[in-house]
Amino acid sequence: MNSTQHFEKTLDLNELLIQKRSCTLFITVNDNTLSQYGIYPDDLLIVDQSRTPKHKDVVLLRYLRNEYIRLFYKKNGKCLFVAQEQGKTAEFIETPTDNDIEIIGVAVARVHCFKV
Amino acid sequence: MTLFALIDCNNFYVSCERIFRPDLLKKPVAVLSNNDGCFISRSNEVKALGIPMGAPLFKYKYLIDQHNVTVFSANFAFYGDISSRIMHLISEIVPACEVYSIDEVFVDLTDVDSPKDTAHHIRQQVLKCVGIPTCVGVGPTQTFAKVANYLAKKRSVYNGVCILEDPQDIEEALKNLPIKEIWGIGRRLSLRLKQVGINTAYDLKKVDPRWMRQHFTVVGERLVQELNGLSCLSLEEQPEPKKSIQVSRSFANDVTEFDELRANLASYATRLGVKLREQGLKTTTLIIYIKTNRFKEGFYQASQVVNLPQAVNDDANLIKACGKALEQIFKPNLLYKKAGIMALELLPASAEQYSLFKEDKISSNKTEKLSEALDKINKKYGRGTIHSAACGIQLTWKDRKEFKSLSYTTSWSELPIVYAR
Repeated sequence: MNSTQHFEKTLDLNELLIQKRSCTLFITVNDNTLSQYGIYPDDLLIVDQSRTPKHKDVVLLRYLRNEYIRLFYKKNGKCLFVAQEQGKTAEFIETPTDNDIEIIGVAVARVHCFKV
Repeated sequence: MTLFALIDCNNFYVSCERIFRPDLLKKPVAVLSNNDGCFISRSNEVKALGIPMGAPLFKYKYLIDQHNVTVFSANFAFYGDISSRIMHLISEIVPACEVYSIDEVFVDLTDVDSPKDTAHHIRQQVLKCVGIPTCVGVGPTQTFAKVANYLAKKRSVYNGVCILEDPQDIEEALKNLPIKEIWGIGRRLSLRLKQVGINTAYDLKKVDPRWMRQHFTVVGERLVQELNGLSCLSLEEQPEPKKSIQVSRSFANDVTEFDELRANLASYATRLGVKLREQGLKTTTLIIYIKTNRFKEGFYQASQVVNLPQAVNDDANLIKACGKALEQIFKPNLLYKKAGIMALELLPASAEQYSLFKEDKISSNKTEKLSEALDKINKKYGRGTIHSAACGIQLTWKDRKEFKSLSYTTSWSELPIVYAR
């Protein structure tokens, strides 16, 4: 092999964090209610819009003209979208008759920058 | 038989603004251009109010206030990013595709197993993964694909996908299609055709192609042939779209070197400059794109949006912008097959606005005169007789729009903020 043709590549975080560039959004988290799942205010979430959520995924969703980040649960054939607020659980429940919830995408990574 | 699809985004700029503003779904929304002067994109609700495309804002201010219309200044950096996401996504589904304008893509479905499913799949993927609603028109020629797209938009029975394959459907559709809606027929041509009694697409289809050639050149002849189901236009040759102007070419031989790619782009920029000046237009936003051969392993494509501080149409500034953009997206050791440059936000050259800060002002007067002189020489002695040679300035960008939305996908400081509670 011609040695001049070989280049060592530098590591690029995009390769690790982003699978589908054209379907990826970055969003900023604004509150503490998912902190028990390791998501804090000002964290950056990387959301892949092409994915369908699995049990216990963090999802970005649209409900009644607002957007939310929630933990996705499947329970007894129902879909739950959960957050913790002051020790209490806040949840949206999706049933076959009430399905106004639109899932925008699934969070695939969280970026937390330390204040330095 | 050939089969083409045209994917066209619905009210594209308005749909972009709605991605991060779900509260605006089904509400009247409009986008303004040229320092908030005119309407360039309207939601269906705004169309229903009777506000025409291109109308000046001041004329309809009362309607805007009365119906609580949400108005945005054009945010081309954002629209350009969303557009390249859509193009990228579609090219992953059907590799044989060709960007036609900022919100339209042609796709070759000739060898695709189930064109109908593919059309629905593309539409559903663009909606799910990028959040933009589209309509898809499918037909045996690109002209028919355009007609089918028009029908898909007009009639809700098609559910966003209209396929014109059956001869009877085609005839029916053409009979109801006014001549001005046909691709490539401008206002002047449509008037001339009406004078000789050609009012619908069906009338035009019946015309003798040779007669068309005599009176309306080879362009007219091809149009008639396309309407008769004979595909004359390949994916790479289409009439000029109205919303954006682009120049793109496939290379005869693969290109690897940065300098060679830059030189190619510079020649396209020169060509773009000629097109802009011929039509008396300037641009403030460019998209530069490059791609490798899609049939070879490791397919790579990338695009870069460039915002210019001031509207330009001179070669020097267009070439500089290309070079700057190419630095951002160029990857070494790849075999590039194609490159292109597209101008968005076309403004009349006379109405251009200067930016507030003097140091931003690109030295335009001199380069404009230079470009004019070059045009004259090239017209006289043939295209490319004399051309520019350089690249590379710092491009800066200043906001000069009152109702501009955030750059949700292109600026770290403007990412959407979302609550969990």
